[in-house]
Amino acid sequence: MKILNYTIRLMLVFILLAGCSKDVLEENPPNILSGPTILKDYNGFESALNGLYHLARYSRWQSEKLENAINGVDNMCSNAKRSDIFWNWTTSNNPSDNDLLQTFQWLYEIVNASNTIIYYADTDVDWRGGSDTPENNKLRVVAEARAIRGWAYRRLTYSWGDVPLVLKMPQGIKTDWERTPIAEVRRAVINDYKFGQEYIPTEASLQGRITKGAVQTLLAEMYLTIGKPDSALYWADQAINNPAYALTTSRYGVHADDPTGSAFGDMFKEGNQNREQGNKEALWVFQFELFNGIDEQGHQLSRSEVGMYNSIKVGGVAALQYTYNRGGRGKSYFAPTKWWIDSYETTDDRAQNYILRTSFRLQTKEENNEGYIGTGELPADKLPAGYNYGDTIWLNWSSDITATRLKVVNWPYSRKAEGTSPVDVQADFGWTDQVYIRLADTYLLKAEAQMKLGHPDDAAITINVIRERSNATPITEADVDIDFILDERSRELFIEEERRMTLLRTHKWFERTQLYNKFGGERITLRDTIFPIPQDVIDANLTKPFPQNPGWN
Amino acid sequence: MKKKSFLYSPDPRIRKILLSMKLAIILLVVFTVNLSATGFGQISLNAKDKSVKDVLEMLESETDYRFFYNDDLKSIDKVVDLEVENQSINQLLDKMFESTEFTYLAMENNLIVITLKADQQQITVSGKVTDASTGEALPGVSVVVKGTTIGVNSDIAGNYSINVPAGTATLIFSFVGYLSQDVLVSGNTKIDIGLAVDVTTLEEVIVVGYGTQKKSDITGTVSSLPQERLQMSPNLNVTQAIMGAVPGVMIQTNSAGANPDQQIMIRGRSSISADNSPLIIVDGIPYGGSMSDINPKDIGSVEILKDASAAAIYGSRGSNGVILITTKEGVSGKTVFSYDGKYGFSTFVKNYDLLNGDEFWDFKNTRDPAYVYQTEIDNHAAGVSTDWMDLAMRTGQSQEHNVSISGGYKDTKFYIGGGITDIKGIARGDNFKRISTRLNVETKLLDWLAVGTRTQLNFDDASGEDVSWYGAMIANPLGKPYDDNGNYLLYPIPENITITNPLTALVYDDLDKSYQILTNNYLNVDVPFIKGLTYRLNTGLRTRFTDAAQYRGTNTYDGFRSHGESRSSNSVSSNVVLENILNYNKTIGDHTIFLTGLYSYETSTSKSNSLSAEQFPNDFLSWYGVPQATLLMPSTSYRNSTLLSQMLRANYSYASRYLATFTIRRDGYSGFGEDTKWGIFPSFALGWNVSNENFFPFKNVVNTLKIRSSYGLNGNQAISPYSSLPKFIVASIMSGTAAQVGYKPMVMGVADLGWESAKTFNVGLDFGLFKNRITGTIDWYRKNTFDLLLDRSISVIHGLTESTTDDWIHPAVTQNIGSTRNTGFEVSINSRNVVREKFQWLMNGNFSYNKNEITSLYGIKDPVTGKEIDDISNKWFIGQPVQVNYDYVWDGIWQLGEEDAAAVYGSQPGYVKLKDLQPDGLLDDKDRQIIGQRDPKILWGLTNTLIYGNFSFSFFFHGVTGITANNDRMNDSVQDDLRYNTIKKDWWTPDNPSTTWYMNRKMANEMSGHGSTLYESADFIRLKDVSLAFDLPKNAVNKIGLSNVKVYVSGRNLLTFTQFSGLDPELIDEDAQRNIPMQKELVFGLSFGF
Repeated sequence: MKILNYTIRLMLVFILLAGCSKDVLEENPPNILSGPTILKDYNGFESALNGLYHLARYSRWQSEKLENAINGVDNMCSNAKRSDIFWNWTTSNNPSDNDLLQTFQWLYEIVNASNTIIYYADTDVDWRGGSDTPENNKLRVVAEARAIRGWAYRRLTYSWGDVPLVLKMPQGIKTDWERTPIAEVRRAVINDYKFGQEYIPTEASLQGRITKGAVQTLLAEMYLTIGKPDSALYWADQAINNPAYALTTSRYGVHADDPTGSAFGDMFKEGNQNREQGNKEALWVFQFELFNGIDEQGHQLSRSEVGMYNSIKVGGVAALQYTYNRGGRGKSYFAPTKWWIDSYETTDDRAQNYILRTSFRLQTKEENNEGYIGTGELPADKLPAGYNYGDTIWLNWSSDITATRLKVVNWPYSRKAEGTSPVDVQADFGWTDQVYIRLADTYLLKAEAQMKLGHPDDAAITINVIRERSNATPITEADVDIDFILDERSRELFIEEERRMTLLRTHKWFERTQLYNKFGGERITLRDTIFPIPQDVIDANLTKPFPQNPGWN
Repeated sequence: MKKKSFLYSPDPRIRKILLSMKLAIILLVVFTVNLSATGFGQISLNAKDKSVKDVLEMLESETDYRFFYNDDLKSIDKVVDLEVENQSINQLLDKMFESTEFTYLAMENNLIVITLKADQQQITVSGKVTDASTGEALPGVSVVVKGTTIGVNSDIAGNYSINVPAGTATLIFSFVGYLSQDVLVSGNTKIDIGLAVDVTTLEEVIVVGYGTQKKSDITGTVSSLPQERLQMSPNLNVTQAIMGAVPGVMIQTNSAGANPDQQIMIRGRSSISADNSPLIIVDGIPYGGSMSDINPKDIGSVEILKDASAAAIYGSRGSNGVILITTKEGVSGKTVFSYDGKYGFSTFVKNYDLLNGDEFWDFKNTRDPAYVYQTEIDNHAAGVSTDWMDLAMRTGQSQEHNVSISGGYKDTKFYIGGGITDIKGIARGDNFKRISTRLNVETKLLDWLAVGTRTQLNFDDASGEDVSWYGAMIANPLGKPYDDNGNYLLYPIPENITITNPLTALVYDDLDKSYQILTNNYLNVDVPFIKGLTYRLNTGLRTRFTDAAQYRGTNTYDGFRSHGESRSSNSVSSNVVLENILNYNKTIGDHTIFLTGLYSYETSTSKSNSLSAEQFPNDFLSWYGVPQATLLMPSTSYRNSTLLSQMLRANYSYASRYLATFTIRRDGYSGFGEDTKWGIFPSFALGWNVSNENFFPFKNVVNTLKIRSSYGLNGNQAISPYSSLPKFIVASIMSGTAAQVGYKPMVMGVADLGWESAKTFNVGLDFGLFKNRITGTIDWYRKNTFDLLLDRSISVIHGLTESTTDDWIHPAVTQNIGSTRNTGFEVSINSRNVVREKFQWLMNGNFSYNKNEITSLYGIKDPVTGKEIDDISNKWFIGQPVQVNYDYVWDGIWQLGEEDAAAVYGSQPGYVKLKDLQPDGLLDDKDRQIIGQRDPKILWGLTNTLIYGNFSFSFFFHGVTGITANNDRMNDSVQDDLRYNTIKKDWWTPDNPSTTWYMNRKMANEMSGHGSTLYESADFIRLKDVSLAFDLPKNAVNKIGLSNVKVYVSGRNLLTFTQFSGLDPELIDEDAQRNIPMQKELVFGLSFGF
């Protein structure tokens, strides 16, 4: 009896202990963030927007995303090689390619980050904060998320055609994604842009964020894509006629006194790129900065496109040192095509050495150390026999980069890409802000719309605004056709515009790449016009077949 | 005396405490019992004209004393007058027996023996105790007069001398590992005795978790690590001792070196994504620390629980098996001191044949002369050919010293151990020091109450950055390591700054120190009023503090570019365990029951603060210069998890013939979803000791035969905390010059994440033949693991990934989905092949086979075939092992004459040929196939020990079969700019149509855009350990006051048989093949004791 009694009491203790255990097992990690913990007030949404812009900025800093948009086109070809696709085309452009998968994933990551913001915006949120009303805060936050979402789908449709349209945050794992017809996806893009441009302010909510004008420009572009030039014209004008936006027509900013410079070139120099720094033409500028400890991510455009000047030999001497004022260690993964370099008139400001590198000046030690604050001192340039400091070394683009003439080191390049760390001139990144959309683009879209509407005369006027700013000879309406507009876009927006998207939009990618790109153009086939769906996406779609694009089955 | 316990008090205050105080409750109960049981009174007695017998009977009825006497004693009826007041029993008896011929002896348990004074005459008995079979003296044998506490221990020479009552005294000789013997003194003054080895007792009682059990009563599958694996081999940690020594246990080596990184897996890979590591229990407490922190010299025994029933008591985490480590404890008797010291040398087992300067020059010029740099031209002309591997590696040296003192004094037993280990690995800069001390003490405070501690303090020092073996492997042999002043060249080939000097790691200022406390303090109560009921309170604490810092000065590659960089971190991890264990043991006739109940609470926390800094004004202060650095990047981490468990176990045995065990355990883990935290894990097992049956006919040959079988459910919760929660990750951005902190979604939440469970069926046989000359165990098992904690890769369209700026990580989600099956067979046999007086040959072998397969994944059927579909992107296939190689099949090299066939695939002679499995002229994803499994099918180990006189020689082979590995290092991964060195190969050329390797050209390793990988069998047989030991003759040793002296030499990894052409078949995967190679070692040792 006693034993029983005792046992019962002990069991009771056990049960009691078990009963109290619920709280003990509850997880409330103090260091982990989630949707519900962040997206409950205005500040939380602002931080989620920062995360979204962080993702958007990958388009400039991650080299595979960058290369995917601007290499392998009429004005850019591989030189020292970054990835197999644009180097080799043919079998290298295949569904197993990891760069393609990562680019595809990245765009859907933007979609999901936007969808998450949009989803939580409709929950119980304290929208008070900032200088605006709670109602306007909400509209503006959602507008920015939607604009960026539209922008991600824009690239998805150009690159892959029909893609799954996901407008709601997925609640759980899905294995039966379906490809949505491209027209439907683009209608959604237009809806997002329209909502975006309505509530996004003329001046960005924070430096580096998207502006009303940028969204209107994207809207004009998308209307051109779907063959509605009248709407494109309307939205381009909305931006152009906004008094806050204006083409930069005079010298300004940190290099204003440099006699070799130009108004055009000033826009791309560190300290000048942003609206806040005097560039009233800029509509969306990606931000990069060193030495703050929180976000020091640099972009890979500099090493990708800046030339391998350090290896140029003159009389057997590798004369030029890496310096800060030369923009660091270029690797020329890809380089402008000869056609592009030759596409300017000699008087054109856009082709001057200030912004399109065609020559170097031999520099002394003092000149080489300008702006450098790292360990030790950088050496002076080595003088080849017969040369003195101040003498010029010319680059040579007399014949094309081809499969048999590769890794060309003395090749011109656009200086829009330049930039390096002032403490490590051999750094792998650049930290100059990158102009992504500016009003000149809007003008050229407007011209395209005018042309398509049968008004080449108006188109010529619009184009001449751009040309005259850079001392290029004005054109007449007889000059206007889609190729001329594409030429002009290439001259004006080299590296800034995602050239591949532009050429796909105008159905000119295959033709013009074959024509002007001498290393790659000869290898591409029509199937390369849109990329293959990554095999991983097909394999992961377990319960429904995910059709591959034509040419890869 | 009335016994009274507060436990039964209806006192409401006590009840309130009972209800409110959770864990402290049982402790409280213990102390209330304590109060009631202490102290007893003095005796008052008034007896006139009573016989001695009457008085004694009176005393028996009034007190707790019992008297033992021979009724035949005539004078027991002698009448005495006695009047005492408040006297002790001794005073009373002294007075009563004053005038009689009686005297008395107070024994244990209030028993008093009445004897005649004449019998109390003391005589001295002396003699020598020896081992009955060898005749060797046995020191430390306990010699006790039966029924008394009088006793001595034999000395070093086995001699003893004891005073005993002349009467009918009996001496009991007992010694661990020997059968006890009782000898009647009968007036003899010299008694020599030989004790027989007790072959059964050595293994009779083994640790089974929350208690010990006689081996013959065990129903589950428990393997013990043979003692010799712990003693003689040069083991840095117990993992190395286990490797190959226990069937069904696989050790995976991620990296060798001074402090190797190894993982243990028992009975195959059952979990696809969650951890497959077994649960480690040290002295009864779950241990989350590193195995290398437990000094193998302190370990007394290692038991491995493998089947569902044995592991069931650790139900929640038992599905991967349980390893029970018990540290040494003192033995009552003489204090024993021992010393063990080792000194060893090591070098790599194998290293690659790399290109020298000349060969690399040719390699580069053949492959792409455009990337030959001026420095290479100059250095080649000057005859430079740097052997980076030679500069990076050295002869390793190690030394180890351990001392221990153990023994017992009165009711206290102790073991005190201390050890120091100092290893200089074969890679320069790879150093490891460990100092550990252990204090195990147990003392009996009262008859029914014992307290004890098992405490270890550790200091690890892994300071110093080693030269990366891989860095040295790929370093450019045309680059010079030093400049003219003897300083390291930061850029051996200045034209390409990505070509680095791997040696500069040696000048990093590096600190990596850890301090660990591991303490298990317990309290044992033999509940006084219920015989057989014991209570144990176990409290365990492990805290590890790590202090790590590294400074890379401007004299290093990284430091030069970042103007000095430092990283420092302080981290603390701790683990607290509280266990309440009740055991009840009862034998009624042939029925024995043994019940165990448990309630436990376990919580783990880890926390770290880190600070990275760059841009230092100078190198003077190393990481202490952080306050002056321009760029600071702090970071923190924190994680916590809690586990609550209740368990009940019932063992029943009938006449040691029929055995049954039933166990049920309930666990709650904080890391699971809100409603799925708890899991219940039952199991049962049956055993039949056939050899104990009367009808068993083969008793002459088969002295032990047990059949056992078990079935049960175990769980696995081995995933990180917070896995069920949705998470965001930091993703910040600039705005002008101001940084804006941002966050992006990273992982989706899985609210119903719960236990991964395994159902295991096991049937086994234990046998002993020829009086245990041959003993062994055979087991067959099938383990079905389901509701896997699967990190399933999900479509990238979900738009989630953990990656921010670094390497891209494929989006994945942890889900309870899928199942696996492991079916296997294990045998282990111990045999004493030859047992002669001078010569013995002992053999100890084990073999295990495991078939591992995925039985289900997502449960989605292919509409055409009706079979469940595979997950190709993760390389998971239904019916195949969890880890397989899945790739294009290497089919040699396209040869001259095959131009047209090659051209179909855009290839050409000299390029790699991959099999077009579906011969459609197109090499695509359908041409991939499974190329072998990545976990072995068969593991075995065989130890032979030869003992001749004082010499003993033993060698241990370990073998692994049925594994295929990716030999990734063979690839010419020299990068496009040919910055790296590679392994010398027979490259194809038109003049040398090699069939082994493709031509030295970029993309010659690809066909139709698909890269080639070489897969090879990684089976091996390795002579893991050899040792030769010599015990100095006892008489010589005894003369200098020692009890034993042993000198030995042992070698590790001296011979390897394998077809694998990579670095080492033991290094499990392609990443491990980049780490420090396995080393062979030669160790000299000395041990002595007194």
